[in-house]
Amino acid sequence: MKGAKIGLLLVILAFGSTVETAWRIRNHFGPGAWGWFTGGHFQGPSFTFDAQQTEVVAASTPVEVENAFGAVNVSAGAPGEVRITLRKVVYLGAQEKARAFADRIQLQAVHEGGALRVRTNRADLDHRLTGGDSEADFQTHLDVLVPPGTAVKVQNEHGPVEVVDVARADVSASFETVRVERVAGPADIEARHGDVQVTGIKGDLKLTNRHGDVTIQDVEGKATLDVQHGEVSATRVGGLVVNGAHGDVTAESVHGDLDVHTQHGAVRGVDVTGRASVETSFQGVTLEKVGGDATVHTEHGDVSLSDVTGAVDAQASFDDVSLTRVAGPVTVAVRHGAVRARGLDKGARVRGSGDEIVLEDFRGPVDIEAERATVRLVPAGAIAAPVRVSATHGAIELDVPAGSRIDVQASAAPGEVTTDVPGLNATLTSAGRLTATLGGGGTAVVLSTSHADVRLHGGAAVAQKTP
Amino acid sequence: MARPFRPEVLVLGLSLIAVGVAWLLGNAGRIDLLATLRGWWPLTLVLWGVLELVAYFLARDARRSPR
Repeated sequence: MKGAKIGLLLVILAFGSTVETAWRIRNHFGPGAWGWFTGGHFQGPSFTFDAQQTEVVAASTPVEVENAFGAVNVSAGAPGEVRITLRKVVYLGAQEKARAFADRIQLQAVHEGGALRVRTNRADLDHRLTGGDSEADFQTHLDVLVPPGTAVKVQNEHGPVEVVDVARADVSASFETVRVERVAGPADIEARHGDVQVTGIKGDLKLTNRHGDVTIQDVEGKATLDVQHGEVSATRVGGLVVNGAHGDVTAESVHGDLDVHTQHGAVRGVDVTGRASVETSFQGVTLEKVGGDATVHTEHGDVSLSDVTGAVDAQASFDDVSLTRVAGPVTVAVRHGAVRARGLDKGARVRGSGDEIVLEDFRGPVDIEAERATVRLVPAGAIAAPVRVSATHGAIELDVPAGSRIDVQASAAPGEVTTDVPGLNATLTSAGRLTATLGGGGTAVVLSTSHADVRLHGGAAVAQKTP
Repeated sequence: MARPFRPEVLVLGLSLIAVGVAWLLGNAGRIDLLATLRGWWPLTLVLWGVLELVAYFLARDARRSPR
């Protein structure tokens, strides 16, 4: 067989394979840049036709809207009636044919099970939904005005959803944006492949989104978000729970607890009145103004906490931990990263390796285990609680403020112990070892390291750092 | 001397015309482009096979009846 024949055969088979593949995936994507090829959905000339219907309903009758390939807008209207407008967009070349087809698209409003169900007969006309062909592409857009105080349920595929001024909202949508505003009760939203914006929810919010960013504001109840691939931004919420996988999380003004469990996403929380619990990886965590305890676990990311009223439990690896103004006790474990803290009121228990550990302006007991790390301690005032430091391959430096009453046991093997603290009464001094008391003793200060030195500083240097 | 009959040239030309016409109709909103291509593309192989057979028999007849 000639080369030209083989080439042509391969071209034909490749073309056929491409067409078959596109055919199989066409219903998994909305009309986008490739819509001209994947079926020409909603391409070419189109004609629009409107239909309206009004249904009288009793007070508090729930309204359920079902649609596909078109927008759904629900908002508050007049009491006692539901006013529905169906906009039919038919993609056919001739207006007469489009009108004839549009006449077959019927609005259906049925009272079932105590609710008013609004939908169209799209399923009878659009055989694409069941894998077949359709006579024409068409979109069905529904505008629904419901009585004030109506609970609304919307299920829409391949179309945007907007729900405003309702009693409660239950929304399921895909491939387009979802916007929910001013809901007097709870809201439950399930979205796929589209951004979600939620504002003004009086009750709890439960939201799931597979692919797309989520922005929520002014949720008085607790917000529970499951966002797998998208960024989350929450502002003024009454408690926030976020479960995610890929995407940053930003939370501001959380009037309750903050719980974030994600991966591959940075987390930033500001002004949390309750406790904060954050778990992530490969990105950093920043928390500012936390009213309760703060628990942070991250791998391959840094931790920055400031103005925490409660206790802190921070675990990190391959990056640093920074703490500023923590009122409660602190527990920190870091692998291959530094710990830098300032303004700890109730001491700290620190396990660190690979970089420096620096505590400044601290009060309360300190217990530090350091591996291949230097330790630098600067108390905020006279030492009144035990200080214990055990290090390997790293020096220990302790500033001893005036007025401290301590019993010192320091050892460095191999290494040196040096001190310039005035008034320190040494009872045992040998190579790499010091036992001493200051101010009559009382509080234990135990410092030991290996392959490095121990240095005790006192006098003017400390006075300058602790005014 | 006349050029021998080459089916692949005919297949390529007819296929290009068919795809172009289908594309035009798709752009005009007259047909569903993908559905049309998906339904009719195997016809290219059938057409080619028929033309190959025609070419074979024409060549055989030419060999049997020398001028």
